Amino acid sequence: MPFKDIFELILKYGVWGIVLLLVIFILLLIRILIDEDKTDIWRGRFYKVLYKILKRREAEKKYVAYDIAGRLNLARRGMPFGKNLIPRSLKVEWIESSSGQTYIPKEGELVVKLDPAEEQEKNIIFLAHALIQKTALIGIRYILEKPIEDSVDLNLIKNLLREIGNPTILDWYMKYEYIPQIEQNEKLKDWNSKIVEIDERGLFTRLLLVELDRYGVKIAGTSKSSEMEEEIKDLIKFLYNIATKKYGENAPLNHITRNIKIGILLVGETSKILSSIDPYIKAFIYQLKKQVESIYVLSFSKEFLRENDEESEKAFEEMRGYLQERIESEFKVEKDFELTYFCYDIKGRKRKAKCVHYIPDYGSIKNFV
Amino acid sequence: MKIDEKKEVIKVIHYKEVHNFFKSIECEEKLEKDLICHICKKKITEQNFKATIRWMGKLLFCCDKHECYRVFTETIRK
Repeated sequence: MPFKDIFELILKYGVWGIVLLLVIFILLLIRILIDEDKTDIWRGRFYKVLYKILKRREAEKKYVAYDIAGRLNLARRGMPFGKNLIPRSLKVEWIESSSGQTYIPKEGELVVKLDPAEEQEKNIIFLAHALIQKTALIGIRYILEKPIEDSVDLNLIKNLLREIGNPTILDWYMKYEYIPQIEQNEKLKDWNSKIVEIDERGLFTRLLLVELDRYGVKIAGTSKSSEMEEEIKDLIKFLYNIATKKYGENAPLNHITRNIKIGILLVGETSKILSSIDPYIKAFIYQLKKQVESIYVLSFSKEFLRENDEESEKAFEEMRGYLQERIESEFKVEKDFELTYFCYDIKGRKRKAKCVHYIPDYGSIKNFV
Repeated sequence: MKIDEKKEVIKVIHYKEVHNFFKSIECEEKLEKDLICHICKKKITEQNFKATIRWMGKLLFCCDKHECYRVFTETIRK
């Protein structure tokens, strides 16, 4: 609230204006205090001021640690991964080695030297990098081909840093890490272009990583095989074909291999859904007949039509809701998650999208269709 | 899938406390002599040191080149 508005509020309502402002302030304070990540950011700001005034190392350390943890943890919460959150939440711990005690790092423990507080952007990037490497793609890294693994990591870090909302951090990462790494490896460049395309349609974190996570659980304890490597590659190609599908073009909408069985329902053509939702119900039944283990209903509304066809946009939204209602009432499926987001279509137009993930229950008679 | 709220702890050291850190891990005397970057094989000094990890019982070190840090942190991929 601008200072002028606050002043006007006090002038208008007198004591009650002050009371109202106090209540708002207390509510805001409570909201921050119960949110650990937001509290970390405020603690960081407090110690930053102390450090600027006193130039004390202790204040600098507290500022650096709270600021990194707060910003990365808040950013991670803004990244959609179905029900799960990747990477894991971060805690930055200083090693106090000034007392002359011996320190023995544990097996696998990474210790990173942080730069001065004035170069905090670099500190954030270094720890974001370590965090992704350590806590993402658990259980599946051993079967991924290196260019695919690298590309997934690069895009995860990019998404995490983008979510922080500081262009300086993202620019630095893109200029000194992301682009140079991609430029030096043709295979990585090729896989990365596919993953970027999938990401631009919003299907990287909402679908590909969700499926890789499920895959990791499924194959836990089994040794790597060339079949597994191919399954992952084919999954990426399958999603890439959907992500780059042009209007009227056909692309396979199910992907069935030994360990991956997914089906997709694409809802994008306004005229089609407005005439009837029966074809989509039939498509859902078709996926069930194929015994897929995951069904994603992806809908892309004609957000850009709103200016010249508001009614059609409204009708699209209604039909989309009705389709979802019918799926959930007519079939025995567990709704894993439902995420609404904005993305850009292949022509670069902004679209409002929705991704709903269903897990069919084949033990139920409802699904014997 | 369940939300896993267990925090990942990453240990850090202050840029002015590198000397004490090497003292605490009993590698002070090896600095600028025997310690090399695990990736580029350059000698590790107080100034160019970036990270360390205990891997298979051995302490590995990494210099502050971005490329080295990137490859070095791949060691911790689970």
